[in-house]
Order: sequence, then structure tokens, then C-alpha cells
Amino acid sequence: MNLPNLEHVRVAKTVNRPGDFLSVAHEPDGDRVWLGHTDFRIYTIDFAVEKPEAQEVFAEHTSYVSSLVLHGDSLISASWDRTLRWWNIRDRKPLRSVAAHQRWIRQLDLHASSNRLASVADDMTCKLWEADSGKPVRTLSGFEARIPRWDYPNKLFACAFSPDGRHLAAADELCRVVVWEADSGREAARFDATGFFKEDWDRNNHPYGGIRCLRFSPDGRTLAIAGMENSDVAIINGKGLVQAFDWQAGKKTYEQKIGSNVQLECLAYHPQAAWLVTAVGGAGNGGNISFLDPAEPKVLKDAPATMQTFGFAWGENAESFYTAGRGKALKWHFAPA
Amino acid sequence: MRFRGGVCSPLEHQLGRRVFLGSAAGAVGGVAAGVAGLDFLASPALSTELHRGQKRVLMLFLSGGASQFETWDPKPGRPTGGPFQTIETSIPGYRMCELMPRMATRMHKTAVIRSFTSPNADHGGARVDAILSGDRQDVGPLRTPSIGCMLARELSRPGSKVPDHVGLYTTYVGFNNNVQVDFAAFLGAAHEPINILNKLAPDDLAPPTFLSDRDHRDRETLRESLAAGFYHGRGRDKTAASHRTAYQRVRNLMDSHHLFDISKEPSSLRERYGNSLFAQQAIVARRLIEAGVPFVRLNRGWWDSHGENFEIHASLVPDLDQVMSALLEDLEQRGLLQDTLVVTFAEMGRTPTINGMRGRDHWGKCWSVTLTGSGIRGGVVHGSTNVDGTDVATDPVTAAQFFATIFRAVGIDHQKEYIAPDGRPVLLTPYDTQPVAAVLA
Repeated sequence: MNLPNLEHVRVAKTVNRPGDFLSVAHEPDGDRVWLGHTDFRIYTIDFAVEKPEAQEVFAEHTSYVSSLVLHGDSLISASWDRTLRWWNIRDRKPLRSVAAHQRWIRQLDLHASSNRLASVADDMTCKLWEADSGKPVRTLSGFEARIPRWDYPNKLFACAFSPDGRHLAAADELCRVVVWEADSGREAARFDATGFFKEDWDRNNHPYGGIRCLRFSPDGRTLAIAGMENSDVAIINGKGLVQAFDWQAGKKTYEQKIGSNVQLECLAYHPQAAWLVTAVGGAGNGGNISFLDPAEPKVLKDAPATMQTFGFAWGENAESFYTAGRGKALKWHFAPA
Repeated sequence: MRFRGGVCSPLEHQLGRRVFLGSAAGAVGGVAAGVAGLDFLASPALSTELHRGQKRVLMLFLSGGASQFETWDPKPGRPTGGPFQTIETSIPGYRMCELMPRMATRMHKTAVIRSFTSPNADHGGARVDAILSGDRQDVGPLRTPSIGCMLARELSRPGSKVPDHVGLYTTYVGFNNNVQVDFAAFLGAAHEPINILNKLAPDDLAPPTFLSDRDHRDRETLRESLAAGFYHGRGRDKTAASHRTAYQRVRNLMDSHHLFDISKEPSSLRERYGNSLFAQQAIVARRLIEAGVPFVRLNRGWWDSHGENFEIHASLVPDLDQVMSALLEDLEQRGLLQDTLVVTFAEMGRTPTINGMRGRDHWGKCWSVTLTGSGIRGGVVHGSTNVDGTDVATDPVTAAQFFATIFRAVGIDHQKEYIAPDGRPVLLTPYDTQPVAAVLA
């Protein structure tokens, strides 16, 4: 396949909706996406039509829909209401609801071929589920429940499977990264990233920061993490920060700072590893979609995101992608205007 | 501090006009403030009115502006509501944010006012001075005392060996440049707080190592005899009197050093409060209240969540919940709550609108305050906001009314007159201000 031309990246279609889309999942073999919203609902958008619209489909969560994955005909959603819900996207009916965590669920990841779903929540556990049935497989731990010194609750923001499904990683507010063997639950690695977290006891007297997203490289050897370089708290005013680690050695191999006053909340490798894509969640103006050279710290291309971006999903064959965020959902492609 | 979106400007955070107070804050945690000020109303004749049956006030000041949505007035499922759910409380029909499960079980002992309204939406400056002194419209340019200084004066006991007014701050934001510090204005600096920043006790409470306590007292006796001569030689000048009073406050504070030491509190009690600095300062505050300090302000910052409001509140509100519930329980178990009014207050609330950084900005139009203990009818939820929390729906309460309620709850006539330096009478709250009767016992 030919790699998409970054010079031509642009927004192809926009769908507006008040509030924030927090998450997006692409339905294979088409141009349809599913999105979780801060109004507690799940929407679908068919970008194939001339004038796409957000159609409300599911409305049973009782808090923000923080993460979505598609597994066959099932859509699996996670929420701050502590539940995971399975939905049939064909007949558009609920399949099951699982009281999954004690605290707010932040993120999901799916390894479809091994039928494994991972969820992370602020109860500081990473849970493995059978993606088909919703049966619990294993609870993984290894994070501090509290932030040292003044004892604030810790937060577990992100998780990701390795491409082969053998490993699962998660990262917390203290910027600790733990990698487990998915089959056995044995801890395979742990390391602490630096630069994302600030204690700031004297000025604001509360912690702030954390790793907001992480992704394995296509070869599984590198773990990239992203968030914000912390220079202050309460108000987002650091640079976006991406680091990559040889996770088995716990050695940082890459660091890239992006923009200012931004917090990166989306991160994705292109399947052929041509680039690493980041998107800005917290920012005053929405920031950019940034395409990074994963081989060396270099921004290959910045494209104005036009919104704060909270969700990212590749389209068919990674020849397009979708972003979800503040008041909008966008389809992007790499074709000349 | 940096703000975006045109909400705050740095100027709003660089206020240093209370020079006389600020210049004193560095000395013995601010205890020398009395040296510089005038003490118009410290005469013995007036002070006989001050004894108020040991009533005390402890103010939890949520500095930076806590969100009413993530505490006392949630709007779940509304565009303004945010991600947190609500929980039942011990008041039938009243639900509060899920971040406060401990307080939820004891709300039948607390009164919530959800309809507090103020023109202020700043962290510092004239409008914060105004809200701290009751948003009064009746005094023109006259600077009137802050609520803390009025309460310290009204509730102080003649001859008390403990300080009348102590402020404990978890953060220097809100403290530096005195942007949110209590001020006595014409009441005189003797009523201003001893401020303790980021720790549990004032600096230098113990005499220097080269000076024994006996030597220190001897020196104090010598200084006092010289000062007495100076005072009488100056025709009983008020400034000279204030100077003498300040030294006495230092000595009394040194004698009160044990109040700031929480190391001997049982570990079970300390665990109940938690491990945060706020928790530890709350134990100090309780000790001060127990010892008879009439007004303690516990300044818990910094809530200014222009970005990541929900993450910040997920960290801070559980701490508030634990500390406040432990404090109320502790006061109650010691038999102190019936004579102690515990207030939650702030300079403002936070916007209904959730901004692009998932933050909430400054908001004065409608937010929540609470009252517990002395003189208060627990289990009352007074006033309301509309469905999205964008405006008061019923029973608006102004700062003047709120302060009148506080005065009334601790037995102070809120229409009592002070005489300002220019000779005009100034009431504690503006003429005809009515307390919120619904929350008074």
C-alpha cells in the first residue's frame, strides 16, 4: 500500500453537536463511526452520506461515555458511571451491562483476535474481560492507590494492548507504566516516566498531570506515551509531551514537545509506523493534529485540529482517520483538495 | 498565575494594597500586625461587651473558588453537570455530588444555602475585599472590616491568653499579596489574624536558644515597664496602646505553642481527618477552637480549575469531605459544636459552562455555602438554582444576609453599630439586612 501523503491531510467532513464527543470507534468496511458523548449518550455518524449527522442510538449510561471499542457486531462502551455496556449495533439493542469498576472508567482497549478487552479505572485496576461474553478474566494491579505525601487519590488514565496481544500496558497519574503478560497476568515491566507530573504542593496544594494515552509501536518493541509537560497546575499551560520507551529495558528512547498550553490526549501509530499521530485534548484553542517522525524527534506535519480532540480512530486501511472532540466529529483524509 | 479565555488577567492576581497588613505578615507569622495599626475600639469600656459565652466560628474558606456543581449543588445529566453522579444524603430528597459520601451522611446537621449570590468573580482586589466584608453598598469608599476580623473582635474575651484570630493557609495563592487575607480596617490591627502559611504553626514560637524562658519574661517585664511609661507620657495614645498590645499578643502566642502541636493527638483521630495538609491544619484549628480562639479561618486552596475541573475536584473534594466530616464529628464529640459555628465560604463559585479545557471559570452569580453548629438548624437546604445552575431560582442570599446569619447564629446583633474613624456609625451589616431565618435554629 502507498503511504498517505501528509501534505494533503485535511478535514473531509464535519458533524457538529453541542457538548463534547469523548471517544470514537470506526466500524470496519464502511465510513460509519460510533461516538461517546458527555451527554451520557452514544451516537453514530455515517460519513458516507453527503450531509452526515450525529444520530443518537444508545442512552443508558448515567455519566460521560469515556471510551468505545467495536468487536464484531458489538459496541462496547465504558463510562464514568463505572459500568461497561455491550450493544448490538445491528439491531441497536443492549446486550449486557457489567458493573465493572469501583471508580470512574477512563479507557478501553481491545485485542480482537484474542477476544480480550482491557479497561482501566480510578480504582487503580486494569481489568481483562472476554470481549465476546463480558466475563471477567483477570484483575491487574500494581499502581499506588494514593499520591504520596498528602494522600490524594491516584488516577489510572490509559491502557493499550501490544499488537500481538501478548502484552498489556497501563499508566497512571504518577506516570508509572506497568506492562503485564496478558495471558498470565505476570508483570513484565514497570518504569516511571518523568516530566508529566507535578506535585506543586506549595502553590496549589494538589497534584496534577499523568500519562493520558499510550500505544505500542507496530513491532511491539516501543511504548509511546503522551500527556502534558507540567509547568503549572489547575490551568493547562505546559507543552504537549510525547515520550517513547524501550519498555523491556525501561529506557527512554524518544522525546518530543509539542506546542504550548496543550495536553495531548490521543496517540496512535500509523500501522506501517510511518508516523506517530497526536491530538490535543486540553487547550485553549484546540491545537493541532501533529504527525511525528517516530524515528527521531521531529514534527513532520501540523494540521489545525479545529477543536479540542478527545478521541481518535483510524479509518479503513488507515487511509483516513476520525477525530472526536469539542462540539464536533471530523473525518480526515489525505487526498488533495 | 496565568489564565486564558479572557477570564482572569494577571492583574487580578497581583493585588498588594493592604500594605500595612502585608508588611507585618512576615514577622512571627503576622503577629506583629498590631504594631502598625490603630485600635479605635479597644478601650476597656467597650470591651466589656465582647464576652459572648464562648461562641466561636471556624471558617473553611475554599480558596480559588470550589465548584458548587461538584459539591453541594450538582446538576447531573445537564449540559452543565459534568461527569459525577449524585448520592443520597441524610436530608430526604436532597442529593449531593458523589465525591462527598461522608458529608452526605451528616447533612441533617448542616444547612446548605444553594442560592448565594455576589458580584464578585475575582480572586483578589476590591471585589474580594467587598465580599469578605459583606458586599456592602451603604458605606461609599469607606473600607469596612472583613467578616473574620469582625467576628474576632465581637467574640474575643477580655484577658484571653489565646489569640483572637488565626488564619491557616494550605497554599500561598490567595495569601501572597494579601489578596484574600482578613483585614480589620478601622477596627484596628489587633483584630487581624495571625496567619500561618503552608505549615501547622507560626515560625519562631520558641525563644532563641541563647535565651531562657525566664530571661525572655524578664526582658518582657522590662519592656512593658518602659512601654507603660511611654504610653502614659504620650497621653494614652492609641497607637502606643496598640504597640503594647502587640507585644502581649506575641507573649501569649508563645505561651500557646502547644496548641499548634498535633503530635500528641491519637493516631485514630489523625487517620479520621486524613493526611493532607488541610487535614492537619484542621486538627490545629480544632485545637485552637477548643482552647477558646474565637475565630479561625482555615484556607484550603487552590480550587481555581480553569483547566481539568473534574480532575482537580476529584482530588480536592474527597479531601474536603473527609476533613469537614471529621472536623464536625470531632467538635460534636467534644461538645464544642453547639457553641462553634462551622462555615464553608469562598470568594466565588465556578461557571456552569464547561470550557474547552474541561474547566470551569469564575462565577459569582449563584453558588453554595454551608453552616453547621452553633445557632443553625441542621437539615435545611435553603434556596435553589435553576435546572442548569445558571441563575438563582429561589431565595437569593447576599453576602450581607449571609454574614447577618452568621452573626445571629453566634449571638451577635448584626445591626450593632461601629463608629468609623470619621465619626459615622457603621453597622455590622447594612441597615435592614435580614438574616436567613430558615437556617437559624
